[in-house]
Amino acid sequence: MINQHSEHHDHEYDDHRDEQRAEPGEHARVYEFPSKREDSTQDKTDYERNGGTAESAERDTAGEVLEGELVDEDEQNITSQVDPPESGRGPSFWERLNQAERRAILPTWLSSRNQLSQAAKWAGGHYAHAAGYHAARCPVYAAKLASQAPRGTARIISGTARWVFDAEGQPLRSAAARREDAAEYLRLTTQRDARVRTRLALTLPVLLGGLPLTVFLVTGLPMLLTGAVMAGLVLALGAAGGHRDKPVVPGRAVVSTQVAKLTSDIVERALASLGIAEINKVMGPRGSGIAFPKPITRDGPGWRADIDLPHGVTVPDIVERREKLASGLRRPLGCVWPESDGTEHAGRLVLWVGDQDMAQAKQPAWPLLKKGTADLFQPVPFGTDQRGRPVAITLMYANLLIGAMPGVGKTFALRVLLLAAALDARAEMRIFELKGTGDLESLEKVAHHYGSGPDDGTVEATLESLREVYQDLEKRAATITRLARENKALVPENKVTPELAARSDLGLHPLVVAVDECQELFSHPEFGKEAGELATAIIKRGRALGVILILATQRPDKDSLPTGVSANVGIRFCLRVMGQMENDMVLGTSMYKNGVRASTFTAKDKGIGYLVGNADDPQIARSAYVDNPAADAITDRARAARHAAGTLSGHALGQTTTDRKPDTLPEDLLSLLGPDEDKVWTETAATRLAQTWPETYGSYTADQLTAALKPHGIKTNRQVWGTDEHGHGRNRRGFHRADLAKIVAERNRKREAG
Amino acid sequence: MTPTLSPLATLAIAALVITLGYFATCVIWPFKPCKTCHGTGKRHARIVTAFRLCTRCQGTGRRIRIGRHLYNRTTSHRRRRRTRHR
Repeated sequence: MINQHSEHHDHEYDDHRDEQRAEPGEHARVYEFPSKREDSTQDKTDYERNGGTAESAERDTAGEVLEGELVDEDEQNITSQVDPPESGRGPSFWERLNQAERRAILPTWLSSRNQLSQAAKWAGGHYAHAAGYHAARCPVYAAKLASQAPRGTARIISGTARWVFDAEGQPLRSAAARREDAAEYLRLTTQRDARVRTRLALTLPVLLGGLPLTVFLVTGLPMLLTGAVMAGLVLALGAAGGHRDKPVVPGRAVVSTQVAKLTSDIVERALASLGIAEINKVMGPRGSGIAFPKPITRDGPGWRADIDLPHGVTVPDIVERREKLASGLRRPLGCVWPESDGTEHAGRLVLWVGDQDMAQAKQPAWPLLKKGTADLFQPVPFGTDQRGRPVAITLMYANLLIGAMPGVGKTFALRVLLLAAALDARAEMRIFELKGTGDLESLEKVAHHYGSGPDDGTVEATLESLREVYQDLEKRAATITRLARENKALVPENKVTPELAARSDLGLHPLVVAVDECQELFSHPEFGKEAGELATAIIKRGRALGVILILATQRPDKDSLPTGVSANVGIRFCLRVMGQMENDMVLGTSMYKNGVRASTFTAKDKGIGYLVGNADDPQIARSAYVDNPAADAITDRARAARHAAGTLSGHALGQTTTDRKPDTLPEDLLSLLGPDEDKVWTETAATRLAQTWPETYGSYTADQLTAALKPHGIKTNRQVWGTDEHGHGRNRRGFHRADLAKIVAERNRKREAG
Repeated sequence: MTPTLSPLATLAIAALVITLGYFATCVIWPFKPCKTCHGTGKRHARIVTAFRLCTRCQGTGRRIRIGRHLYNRTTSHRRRRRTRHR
């Protein structure tokens, strides 16, 4: 209470001191009364606490007398000063300079070699096209010019004559005659006579001497040259005889689409048409107008306007009225992209207006279409954003969920990512497409596991594969822990690193599990529950262990997408969906409310969706278009790379999921024997198998191996002389290399025949 | 068998030629030497050395041809009327 009182006091004191002295009785009465020093120092601290300047405090303490006033209780509810005085004004010049955003010195198209070459390629193509267009029409142009040549000749002759005989002065002379002004007429005719004399003196020698000489010289030239000169003369005369409204070159080779410039007037009009009360208020006659903090500039193939919305209006308010905004801007919906600027306040709108509808704009080809390999630890190219800039996704340490209604490019988007993964030779691919249309068929030849079809068998195979992945997770985790214990530098963050992934002996290679139409799996009455649990566990734990789960669904609800899955996926890509619920299921809760609305896409926005979790802010991305033959070519490349790296496995080698173990055991065993090992103990073989393929043979003991080899007809009860771990020579059970080789050769023969 | 023109026709043709010739003269040479001063623009007094400017032609020595004058009158009259009525 005291505080407020004294604060009020100095407020009044500064502002109305003289006034109150003059009229002491009006509001409150002013008394001057003596006070002690202690009181005034007390007062000073009050001043300082309340932000009063020291100077005004000193004025009080200087004298023996303290001025004060008695104030009515009613007046004490006057609010205190909130805005700090001048001294507390904002960041300093240097601070502001420190935080200032530096704009790029070079424009973007000059900034990188890639962009520069693209720009150069574009310009070259443009002019080459124009040249070709006109070259093809060259004969037409020549004929037109030739037909105009007589008129050109007449024009030149008459023009020369008019010049020589001073036709220019004729109107003046006749005017003088009309006015019957003899003196003026005389002066004008004298002038004309003088002019004609000089001009004739210039023209006659050319006509009588120069022209015949030229004709003589030209005809004396070689035939071809004469013809060329004559042709040139005819064309020149033709050019002189042209009509202004009938040009020889009638059309341009490249018709540029005329796009209206985006101006602040247009933007303001569009914003005012949204029906937002606050905007209308500032747009009204007494309003402050809408602020543009930066100039409206070209940004890619479109215009970019930065807008400070009126107080209280947020970017989602605008985004949800995108359609109205497009109408107000008089542009197609696919051209109008309001976004928030993540680095600024919530009312900073970045409005990007493209020249062309995003769905119709030409998209650059996928960078890996013709050549190149991918690295899953690096961002892999996915598509472009609405401004045509590339969008890349880092798949490693992430999981991905793609959701959309049917037929808007979900599987295409999935396939682009899988093709990128296939181009990383280290990655093991497990691909299940539960629609059964074979959209991902091209990836079959690189996949470790592949399944296609809506039937129970495929779903079960998917589940089986997920189980395997889950078991693999344990092994991977154990390996990581072991490595971390042995050498911390190898696994700095207890994560799979590119170096570890490249080592084939560790089994930490990237593992990509993709399930298209995953609702078939998760809503399956028999396998759904277990699949959901496995997927959740894989998403939660697999991230750091190099397991990447990619799910695509056309029905994102809680039955077909377990909440554990939808809540933990890192990257989401949502193409067109119907409503808020589907939007939020795929992109995350309250995304719709925040203005990230995949429901605003239209049916022709194929492959266009919101990509969340890839960059800091949700971004709009259009997945690259790779058709079936192109995908086939890419996977051929991928298969060759994998063949070279020796990472082809599973389905890609023609092995099926169920009979993998019995099918390859003899071959695997044979490959483990050194060239000079004719006989080997069963124990030794089991240990080696477990070391080399821990996920397959990890649990094998010598007895189990014996049992497993029996169906193949390999004799395992032979006496083999060897040396045990203590260096003692012993006779133990084992098998002979020759037996094994015979069986393998027979199997190879059978396989080739079958 | 040389066709002989009747005197009237000869007269008519001569009139036409003369008219057209006069018309062309009026177009090409709108002015002619002043009759009073014989194109000099000066009138000599009785004393040999003294002279003054010809008052007929204001010292230019040129007078507008009658034909041209009539033409000017008619066209300027027409032009004035046209401007007035516009």
